[in-house]
Amino acid sequence: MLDSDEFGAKLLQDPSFVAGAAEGLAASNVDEDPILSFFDRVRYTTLKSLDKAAAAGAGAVGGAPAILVLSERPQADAKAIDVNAHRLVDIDLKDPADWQGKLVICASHATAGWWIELPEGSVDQALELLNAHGLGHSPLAIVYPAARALSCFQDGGMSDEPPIKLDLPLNSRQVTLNDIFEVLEDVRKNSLLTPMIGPPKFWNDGPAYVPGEEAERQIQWIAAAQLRSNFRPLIVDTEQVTPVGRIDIVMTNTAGTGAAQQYPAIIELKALKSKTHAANKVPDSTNVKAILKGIRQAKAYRETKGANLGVMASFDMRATKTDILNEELCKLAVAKYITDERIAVYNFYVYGDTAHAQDEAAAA
Amino acid sequence: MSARTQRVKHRVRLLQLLAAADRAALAPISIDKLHAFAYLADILSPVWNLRPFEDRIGRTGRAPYYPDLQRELDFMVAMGLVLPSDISYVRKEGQPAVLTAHFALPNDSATVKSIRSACGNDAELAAQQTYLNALADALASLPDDDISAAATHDLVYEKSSNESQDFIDLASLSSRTSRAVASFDKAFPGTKLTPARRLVMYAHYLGHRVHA
Repeated sequence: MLDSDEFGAKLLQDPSFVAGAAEGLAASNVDEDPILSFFDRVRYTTLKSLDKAAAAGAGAVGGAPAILVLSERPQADAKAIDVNAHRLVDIDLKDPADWQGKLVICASHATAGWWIELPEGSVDQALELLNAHGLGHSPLAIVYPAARALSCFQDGGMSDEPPIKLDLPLNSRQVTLNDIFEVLEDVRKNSLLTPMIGPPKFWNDGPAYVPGEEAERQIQWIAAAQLRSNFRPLIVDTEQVTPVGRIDIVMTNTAGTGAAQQYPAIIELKALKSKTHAANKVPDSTNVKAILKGIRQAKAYRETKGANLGVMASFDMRATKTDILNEELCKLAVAKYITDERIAVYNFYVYGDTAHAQDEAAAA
Repeated sequence: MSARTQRVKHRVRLLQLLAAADRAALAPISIDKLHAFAYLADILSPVWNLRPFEDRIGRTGRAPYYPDLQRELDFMVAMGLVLPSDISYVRKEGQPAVLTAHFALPNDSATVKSIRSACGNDAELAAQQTYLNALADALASLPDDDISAAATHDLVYEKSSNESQDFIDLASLSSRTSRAVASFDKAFPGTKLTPARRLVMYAHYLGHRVHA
């Protein structure tokens, strides 16, 4: 019998061990929130299905949206709506035509559930139907295959809260600083820019620029999900612990050899604020300190992991958007830590008041 | 343990397995998938710091199968606690025809509800249910056709050429399965590997072995 070390070494040389485990790593997540975990699973399974259709030369996917509803008892909930509900498995491996236009009462892993047709192909009627059967506040994701977009409603279809919006991009990207910038800019523009499109409770009071209690965590979750979709099949993990601190986002290529290939990028995120979630004033010196800390962390984590790229991205939720990266202390930090072309600092403006976002758009 | 207690424990285990299968949209679950699930739940229990439910299982050269569990399942069908569906005979070449079916918990049984509620109030059973739910999720993320074959390709169940034992000691904490799950740390250093995530990773490894 092989001893533990020999056995472990033999396994690590087995391509099916590493490939299988990596597939499992991509198919799982470590979100403690079961609802966010479900949304990430819907993102993963539907994107895999769309990719499969694209690889088969299906061209642009058209057609009706699908609604995937999280349920603890998918069969019972589906059959309560319609006794003729059908079982659907392997959503990730199916052609999108197999789940489009359907209301799927799903298990938490989002690869299987029980479906009925969307009543008259209508999302609104489906939401009414769910409400009539006591599922109006069950978390659900509406998948728009033609638009390659996902709207995630944490409190169900009857909630007044805005959804979390995610993309299901057609192509995967190469990991460059510019591509990371573009993905984070899409996060800003499509998922955070104003209270109208931001996730629920992102602002306690938008016009007064009072952020929600979970704003940082929401930015991190949306950024990680969008990075996963845009840089698939890389693993994008959050809160990875190293001896020098906890990295916000680590991108891992499980097929990579050597640290720089294995870790294409690390990203440190910061949220700049003019008020705390309790509406207490935050001095700009605190935001400058956050930037300085973020730049130092991005460089330190890149070096510790041996990652190829390092990024410090701040999402600027302040009421008054000064050019904070041009503050003297920030410039000194940039000079000290941004010493090569594999590290960058970005600041993304986010608005609590839609009129302020309009000002930015009009000035462009 | 008395034979009666043993039977009750088997029935509770079945209810828990079927509840997890229901939650993961695996139910109605076929016989082979149910036994595969029960086996993987035993061999992977150290991942969740739990003891396996069974002490040993016979290596028959076919898919994992627990005769005692099956007998209690049949009784539970007769008692109306488990619903069978898709009942049919299957005849494989060179083997006698066998009766096969799919199984699920009934949606509207007050008895099942009250047993499950009582189980939920027991800390040990509640921990087992959480584990079984996570494992059912992990298995359900595999292609549906690969789930039962995955158990047959488990590192312990699959007999290596130098092994003569025709049974598996499930209580061994240093099984090849446990060591493989521990090896994920070396394959993916620094990655946050929760017990639930390790189950998904091991399930997908078995999925790859099925097609290797």
